[in-house]
Amino acid sequence: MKTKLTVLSAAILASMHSLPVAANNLILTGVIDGPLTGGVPKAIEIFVPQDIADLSRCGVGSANNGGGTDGQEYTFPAVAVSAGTFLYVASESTGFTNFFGFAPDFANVSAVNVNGDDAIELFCDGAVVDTFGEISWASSPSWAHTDGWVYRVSDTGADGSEFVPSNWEFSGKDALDGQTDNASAVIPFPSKTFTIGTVDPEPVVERLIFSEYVEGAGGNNKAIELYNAGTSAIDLSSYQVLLYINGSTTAGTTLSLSGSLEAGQTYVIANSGSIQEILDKANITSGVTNFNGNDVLELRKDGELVDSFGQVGNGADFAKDVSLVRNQGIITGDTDSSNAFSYSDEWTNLGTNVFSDLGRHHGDDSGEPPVSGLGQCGDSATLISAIQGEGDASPLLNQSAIVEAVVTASFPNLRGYFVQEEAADQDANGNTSEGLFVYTNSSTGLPVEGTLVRVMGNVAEFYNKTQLAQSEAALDCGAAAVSPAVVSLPFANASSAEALEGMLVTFEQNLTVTDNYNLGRYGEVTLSNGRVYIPTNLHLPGSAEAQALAAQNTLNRILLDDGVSGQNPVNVIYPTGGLSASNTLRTGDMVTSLTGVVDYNFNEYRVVPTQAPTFVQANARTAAPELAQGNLKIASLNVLNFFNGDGQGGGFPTARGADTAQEYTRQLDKLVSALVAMDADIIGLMEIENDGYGGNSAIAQLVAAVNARLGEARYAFVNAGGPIGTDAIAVGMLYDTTSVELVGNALINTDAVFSRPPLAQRFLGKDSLGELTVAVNHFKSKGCGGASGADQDQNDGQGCYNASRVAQAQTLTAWLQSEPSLSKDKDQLIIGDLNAYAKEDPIMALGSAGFTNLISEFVGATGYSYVFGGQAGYLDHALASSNLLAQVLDVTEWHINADEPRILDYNTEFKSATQVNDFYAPDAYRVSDHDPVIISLQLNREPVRGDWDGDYDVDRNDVNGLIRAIAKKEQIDMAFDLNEDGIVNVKDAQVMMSLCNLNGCRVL
Amino acid sequence: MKKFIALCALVLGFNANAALINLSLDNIDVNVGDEVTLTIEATGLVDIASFQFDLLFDASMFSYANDGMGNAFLDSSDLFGALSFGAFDNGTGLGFGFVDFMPLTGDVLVASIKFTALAAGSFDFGLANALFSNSSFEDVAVDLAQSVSVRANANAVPEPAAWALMLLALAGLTVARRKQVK
Repeated sequence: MKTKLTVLSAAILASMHSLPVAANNLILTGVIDGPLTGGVPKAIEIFVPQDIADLSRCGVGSANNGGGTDGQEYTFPAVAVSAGTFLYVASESTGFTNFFGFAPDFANVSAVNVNGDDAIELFCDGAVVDTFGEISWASSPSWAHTDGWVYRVSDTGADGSEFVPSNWEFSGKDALDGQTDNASAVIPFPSKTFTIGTVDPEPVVERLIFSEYVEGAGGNNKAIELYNAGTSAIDLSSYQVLLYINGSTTAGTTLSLSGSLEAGQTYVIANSGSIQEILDKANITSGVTNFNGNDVLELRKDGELVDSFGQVGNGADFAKDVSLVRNQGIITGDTDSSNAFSYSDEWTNLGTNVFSDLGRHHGDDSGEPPVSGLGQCGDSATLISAIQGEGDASPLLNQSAIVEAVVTASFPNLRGYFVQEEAADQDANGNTSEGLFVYTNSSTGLPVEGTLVRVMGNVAEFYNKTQLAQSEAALDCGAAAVSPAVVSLPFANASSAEALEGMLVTFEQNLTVTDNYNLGRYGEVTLSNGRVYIPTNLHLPGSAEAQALAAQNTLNRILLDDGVSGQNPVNVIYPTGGLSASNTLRTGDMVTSLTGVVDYNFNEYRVVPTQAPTFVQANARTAAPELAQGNLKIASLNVLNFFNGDGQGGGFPTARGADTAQEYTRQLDKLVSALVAMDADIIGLMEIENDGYGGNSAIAQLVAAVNARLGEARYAFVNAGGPIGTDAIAVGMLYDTTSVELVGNALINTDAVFSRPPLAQRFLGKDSLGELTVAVNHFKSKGCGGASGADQDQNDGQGCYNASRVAQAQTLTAWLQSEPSLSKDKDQLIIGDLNAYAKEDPIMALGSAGFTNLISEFVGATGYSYVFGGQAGYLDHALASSNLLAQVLDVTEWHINADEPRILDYNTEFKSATQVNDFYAPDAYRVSDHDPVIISLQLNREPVRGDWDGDYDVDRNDVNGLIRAIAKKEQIDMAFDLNEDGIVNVKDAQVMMSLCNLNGCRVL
Repeated sequence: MKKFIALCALVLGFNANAALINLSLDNIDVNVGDEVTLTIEATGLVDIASFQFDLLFDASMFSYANDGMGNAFLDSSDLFGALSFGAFDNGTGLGFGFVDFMPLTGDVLVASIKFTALAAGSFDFGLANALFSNSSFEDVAVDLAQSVSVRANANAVPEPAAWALMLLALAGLTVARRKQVK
């Protein structure tokens, strides 16, 4: 085995061009945990795609047993390596050499002393450039390959510090158990098979070769056969066959070919003096076949030598009275016609005067035993239903099987194709799938849809996907068709989808897109029958209805796959025309025609379409919130970690928000667009940077940006004096100074029960002259970090910290109802991200305290502000005190965020340069992951104290009214206990006198 | 009435300066259909900014001038110019209420009301539930006079034959007292 290492002196090293080490300069292509005594060989294979002058810039480390990175443990020596080299790094030397038959390039490297569950990191210039496995894990990982190997899929990598399981092929654990060397192993380590190509399509390689030579004894039974060993048809008019007679060095006869030869077909040139048996198989007769056993043949394309038979200039007999067939597997010609030629190198002698093999070249049935065991079309084969079986895993795992079925789809991007049994070969068992994925590990040469193929391979389970790993090219057995199975959601039970794995299916339903979280990352969306809701948004936690809905939700989904492996695709093909900021695919939109094959990857069943699906924008964007207009509008929005750095263009990356000034600008522009479109009088915000109210603070600069967009200093922020609480984020409030005034000071509640203290402010509406108090909140989230005791997940669907959220709700209402200045105003509105769905305990607690869930009242069961795991519900709330309830006119959720793909947000990571622009617009959509809630009030004018007759003033008419009512012993509202002594009597009339607007209590 | 007041003064000699609400009738024996005038006076007031009290009587036995909605028309009062003053049907008689910018001091005619007897019998007018407040919102103690009574006599309505006999009998008499029926 030649390696291209060169140890150079420092001077030569210094003079070599040193390439910048980018993430692509070393690619980890394989890891092996061997079966020999001591678990050897333990080694990694590395591919070098570009020349490297000094390999010591790079190194290796392994993270053992999920304990986190150990950093770079081994540094390569200062050697130069050239592009295309494969390097082997092994824990020792002897075992490696015994197993592979060659020595490792770098031996005794303890960093690769791995056991199959240890992650490997490649470093260059101190940064991780490629990774296999997760460096941290708590329990034995799914990618463990003890006594087995992993090998990188061609045309992937390097993956940097992120492990991408879909870029790896797994032998499976114990695949090498009992093996003694790689050459004879059942599932050998595919060393040096990794290729990384360009994005250009592979050029079509024409392979026309001599495939048979017949030189009969006695008579003129002579023929030469040509064979198209490539994958596409060849135009023969570029080719010539030349005959060199009796040692001549110039061609005596030349035949220029014409016509077209399909792949896998033969072209027979016979001598016109041959017997009928030969002439029957001839495509043409020609004098170029006037050879006698010592004459040399050449095949040339446009003058260039592509194959030869014999040695030009040598007139000795070398192929007399023989019928020779070119060995199977020879697909390239002998392009040196001047060197010595011995037919036994590449040809097999069928004997003398054997003419029966003309007109075909291997793979045809002829009574000759097939070299491979694949058999002929129509021979017995294993039914796909037997391979799939009734369960998830194949009952024929790791066995070789031959399948004869119809190709339903070929996917070069998936390096394989799907087949399905013809109707006559399907079993009656609905639990066994009739489809199967055939993995060829090649993106070219795949059979065409609608072809009946006969294929042999090993039955394998790739992460629970049953598949056939093709071992040699399939036989084309003619055209055939299968009908797609009609499928509908939800599935009947948990094993329904498994019974469809690998099959061609069609949906007659209109399906709803219910999740687009991974649309940008993997090009996939989730489809369901209708919208899917969070169970505890509709039903009480733990109730029978909630559990039933949770179970139903798991059966009501399938993924729509884009048919491309890997992540962050350059082209996100959904919806039609490709995803962009102006061509979105929202949850709630629909797919109205879907036909494809059912695949299984990453624990999800997916449909890979065979026809482009039809998308309908059933849940289109709206330009502004739509609700009835009253005299006051309040909005509530979680702004998804709005951090402005240091407020002067620096301070990036921020703790939780934008990583660069560019990201901040993108985020700010979207947020300003959203706030301007909402046009609210009071706006509650959550997740704004908790950096106070100075000129460089996030809230101050947000308000400034809004006012700049409006062209007037309209909005101001409620100033709580300084940072609120100790969390990195806080709540905040903005208000329109032209439509509301502040009444009294802002109040915050710093009780330790709150993760983020609530902020309350009383307002006077200038239009309505009514007053209300708005309290904005951000309860503890459902994430489980640090949860203990009752805050741990109680497995009732409410997540972690439910107990804390209930305590926060109770403390909030007690505060609103008892704090001296807050409790005076009976018109109270609770808004914010409460991190609890509609029927969960915290919302019920608010209801028990007298606050009504307005979204439940005005929007109902279809309300949502957030989509998680493909299920919709609302964590963002508006609740009104009983006094305020009658003044609520309308409530809506403006669906600008929860429905949109997250790839359209302000972030720039994981996007190509084109996508950074195409996936962004400075509009309101996906400014956050939560939708805003908008509340429209028809606020009553604030009652005037002492106003008996309801005309909003106090005069003698009111005094007379009170005196009369007292004297008549009428029941009088305690609002007229003006001296607050618990009783309404003439003393209150005395007080009322002092409240008169005009002297002498004159009537205006 | 002065005799009555003097009696009160004797009884409450040490409180001679306390506020007092007094009741008096101009006639304590009338016929049904006749009018009596009830006078309510308040004496000894010091800095009274507001007051309320009830005049208790059986309102089905007496009628009084009113506006049809329970507001009594008082015949006379010193308090008509106040910011708010009036007497209102409250189901137990009349409720009185008063409040003014100018507190009351000294003696005041609260009200004189003309009642018409509607039925025969002996009927009381009494005072109760008094609250007097000064300009500092302090309760001021007030004595309430005892109730007063009026007797209403039924008008005899004789048989026509008896009337004729009476005329005959009287025809010879020189003394005739005519009763006026109001």
